[in-house]
Amino acid sequence: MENYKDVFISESMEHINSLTQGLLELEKNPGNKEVITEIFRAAHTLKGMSATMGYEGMAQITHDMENLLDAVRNGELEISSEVIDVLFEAVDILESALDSLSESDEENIDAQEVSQKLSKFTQIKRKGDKDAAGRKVEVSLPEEGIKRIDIQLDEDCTLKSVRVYMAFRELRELGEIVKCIPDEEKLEDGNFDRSFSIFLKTNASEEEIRARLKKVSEVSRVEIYSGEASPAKEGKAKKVGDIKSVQTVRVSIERLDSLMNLVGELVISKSRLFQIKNKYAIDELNETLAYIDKLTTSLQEEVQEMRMVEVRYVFDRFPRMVRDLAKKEGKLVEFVIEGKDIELDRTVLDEIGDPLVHLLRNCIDHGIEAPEERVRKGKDEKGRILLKARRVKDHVEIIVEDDGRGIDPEKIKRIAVEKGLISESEAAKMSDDEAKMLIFTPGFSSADKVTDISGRGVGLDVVRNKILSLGGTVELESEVDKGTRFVLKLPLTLAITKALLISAGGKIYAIPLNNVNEILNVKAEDISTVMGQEVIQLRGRILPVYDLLSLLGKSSGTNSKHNRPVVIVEKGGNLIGLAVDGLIGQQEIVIKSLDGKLRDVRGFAGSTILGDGRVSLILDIASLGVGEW
Amino acid sequence: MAKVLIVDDAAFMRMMLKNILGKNGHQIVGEAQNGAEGVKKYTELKPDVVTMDIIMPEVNGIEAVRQIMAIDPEAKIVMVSALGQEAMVKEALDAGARDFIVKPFKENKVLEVIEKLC
Repeated sequence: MENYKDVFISESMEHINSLTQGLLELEKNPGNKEVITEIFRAAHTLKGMSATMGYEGMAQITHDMENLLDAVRNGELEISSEVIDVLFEAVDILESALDSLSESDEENIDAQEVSQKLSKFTQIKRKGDKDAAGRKVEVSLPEEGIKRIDIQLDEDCTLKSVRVYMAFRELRELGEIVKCIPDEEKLEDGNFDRSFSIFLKTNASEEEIRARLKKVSEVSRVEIYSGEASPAKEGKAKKVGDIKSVQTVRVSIERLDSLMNLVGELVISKSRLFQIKNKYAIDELNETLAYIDKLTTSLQEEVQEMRMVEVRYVFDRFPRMVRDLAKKEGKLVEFVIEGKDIELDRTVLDEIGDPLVHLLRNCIDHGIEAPEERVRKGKDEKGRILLKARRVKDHVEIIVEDDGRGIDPEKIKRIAVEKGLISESEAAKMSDDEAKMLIFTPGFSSADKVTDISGRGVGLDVVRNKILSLGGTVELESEVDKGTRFVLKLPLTLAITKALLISAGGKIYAIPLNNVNEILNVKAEDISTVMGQEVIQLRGRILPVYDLLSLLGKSSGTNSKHNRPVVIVEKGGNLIGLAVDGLIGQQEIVIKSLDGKLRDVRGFAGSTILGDGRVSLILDIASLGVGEW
Repeated sequence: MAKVLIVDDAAFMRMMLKNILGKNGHQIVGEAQNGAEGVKKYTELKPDVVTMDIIMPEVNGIEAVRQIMAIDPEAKIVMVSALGQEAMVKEALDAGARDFIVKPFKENKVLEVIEKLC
């Protein structure tokens, strides 16, 4: 059973997504027959799946959804906002059941309440659902005595639907056909590849079934699975069908991770080989090494490509969220998503969900004004939020944009002063752009009141730190009464990155290159001390300079009176200098995350193995402990 | 080896089937040009297998299947269908036909179907 659960969950998630999408569409456009049919089908499939897995709650809810949608489809019930709300509620419960199932074997939901709400609509409009009882039987189907029969037709079989028909006829002689994959409609239309599965409730033996199916011509293969697990194979069976039609294979993310890891090892060995070649000046190796270099690069690209997932997997859950929040806040919002098909590394994608939720919440809560306020300002009463992904060279940009009230630098300064984040005099000196960046300061939350939406104690600083830790950047553009735009720049992948290798205290550290702004060679006399902090001047700006070793909690053995290379990095919106002992060079590194007890060590993003086999720690600039200055 | 009766209004199709079956050792015991003639020849010749076209003048293939089945419930009738005649093939199967083959004929398919019935 367990094997099928994963497939069940991931596939159910897809159906829930399409339910959500469909409901949102239906809300906008209640008469859309196609959408109704689509969500009906999604509910129907979910029902079948959950029933075969024995998840009674989900089966119950989807059953009632199906009834309701059926009534809508037949024109017996009109789509109203109450209907949509109840359907959404049902979808929520289904989703929470899936969440719970992914961690335990219990659905942990109360199906009754929403089920009653759902059936209330159908009861009003219909005099009892005649076949409800009949369908219930299907829901509480006993698992024993069901055989799954996979049938494959000849490749050149022309009237497939008739073969299906014949197979059905033969099998019906032996028992009851409980369900089939693809569904009967598709099979009858011949709308499937070569294979289909039939779940037959029967006491007949495998031999009897085979003998029956022998009578059907053009059958190239018959597989019969019986016993308890058979109906649950449904999910898997469907996948098999998918494989045939779309030529894809599902591989667990762990596999890809480990593949990436292996490729990483290969990249390391490659640089080791290069070093050996250079050390001993072995010219014969040149050609082979160049080829290996090319191969590893292609391999790396291929693996990376495999890990890419379309952003739609994250984006698709937002329309629902935006709708709910806007409704709650009494705001009118048109939510536009663009670039859903842009791909990002799975790991990056997993991490940006929460930051995006936060930014979108902000748009609705702080950005978009109430309709009457918008009208007063001469804007369309409906606000617009844009979520857009686009590929820019080797980065992906995700843009979250609203046409709301924008960020008022004066207001931001005032709040920052009130919260004691900056002093009055600092505020006075601050440029508008600098003031806007204050919203990323820890402890800043400009919400006048804490609402259900924002102001949950998670500030934009968390968003920014998350993006920075992914090796990305956050940019902010805002104009009062015009709107706000956040641009998140994200690397395509996390596993392999370019880094600057530096030495400090006899050790080599790697600084991800996207953190590095520039590198300076600073003479001792250029360093001055202001308020106990060493600083340098860079093109008229004063930057604090920290000795890297001291930051890492080691005593610096280096005499700071010497000329030293200083790496300028961006940290929390400011530039700081890191004084190091030496610069080694730029190299591709494979990031190995720090596990277990080391995970919480601040200042390091992971470790990497250098070409010569030495281990080097990768600095995490965002979490590097720099005192307030 | 099977004794086969071919019922088809198109001489060309009869010839095709005759060739395929003949060279693979089957014996064509008779031919008919429409359903009514087919039913008549069935009772006379008692073939092992009948190939039955669907669309034929006067008595069509489905009707002919019904009549033959009424005479001999054990009759082995194979429908000859063109693409797009799914519904009619199903109807014929319900009427008692055992199997079907599709025009244009593929030799291996025709043989598979005929030989399965013998």
